[in-house]
Amino acid sequence: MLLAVARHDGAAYGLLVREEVSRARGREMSVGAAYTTLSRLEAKGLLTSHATEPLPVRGGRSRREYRLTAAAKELLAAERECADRRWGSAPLWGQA
Amino acid sequence: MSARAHDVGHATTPADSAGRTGATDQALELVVAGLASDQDALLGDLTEGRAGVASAQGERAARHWWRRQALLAVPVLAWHGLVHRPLMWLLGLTGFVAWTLLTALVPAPFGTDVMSYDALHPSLPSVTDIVADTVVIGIGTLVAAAVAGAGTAALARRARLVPALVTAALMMLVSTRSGFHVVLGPGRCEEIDRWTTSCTVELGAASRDAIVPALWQLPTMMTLLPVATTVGALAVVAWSRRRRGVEPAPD
Repeated sequence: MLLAVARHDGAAYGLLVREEVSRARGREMSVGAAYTTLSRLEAKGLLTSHATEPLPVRGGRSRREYRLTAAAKELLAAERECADRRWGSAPLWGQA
Repeated sequence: MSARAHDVGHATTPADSAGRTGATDQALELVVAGLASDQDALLGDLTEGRAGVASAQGERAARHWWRRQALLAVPVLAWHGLVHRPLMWLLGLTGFVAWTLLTALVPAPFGTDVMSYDALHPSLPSVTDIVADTVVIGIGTLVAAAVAGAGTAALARRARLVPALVTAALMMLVSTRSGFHVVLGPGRCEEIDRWTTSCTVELGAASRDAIVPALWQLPTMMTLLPVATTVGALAVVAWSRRRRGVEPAPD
């Protein structure tokens, strides 16, 4: 979820994040689940958000766009480093 | 749906993108709005997603997509509101207490709810009186439930429907407990000795003691009390949306 927000940092919103996550997981995530997860991440201080101006395509409703906080960026960097360390010494199967 | 589909969605008019039809869809939208903390974000996502599906797969698929997503969102939002917002439990409990106090004010015209029965002075109420009292008390209880639901929804600033769910659940539990006690027939009492009287109540289907309250309380009140509470809360959600200038989706 955080990665999906990171890819569109500042312009990520519920529907876009849902599509990213659904594509990455290989199964559909519901709009409601994306909405509640983003709310929870914001409550945990990993995301900040702001509402846009009302948009015609949304029936005159605004979008809530999310951005990663410094804490979330640190968390993602630590996660990446951890994954690199885990995979660093493994042989690369299937490569010539 | 791809980002491209979003761009195509921008070409649709607001009336098309919000073109959900029928009272059922409007009620579903009201429920979702009542459960979401930020209804603009969620309903806007649903509307935008619907417009994308409509341009890619047609109106029928879009309507199906919108309904499915809205229905899927209801339990997720309710759970989210209950787990992550403890204040909602407090508000729900307050609503339940208010409902209990309000129901105490509902009179029974024939007094069968407070009539005292004993073996020495049997005073058996007629079934008609019991039915009349049960109906009056039942309607009063449902109105009180709607008022309690509306009250909790009015007190909550966001996700107005969530505390009403707590109130409704507690009412359901109470309905099962008092199913055979609120308006109960006299039973059959026998004097065992000078100081002891034994009373029994027949709970069979043909019993005049329990059949009326049993039929009224268990299947009916367990269903109608949560419905009345939710309707009261939804009325406040609809009122607050109208106040904010959010009009219901056009037919």
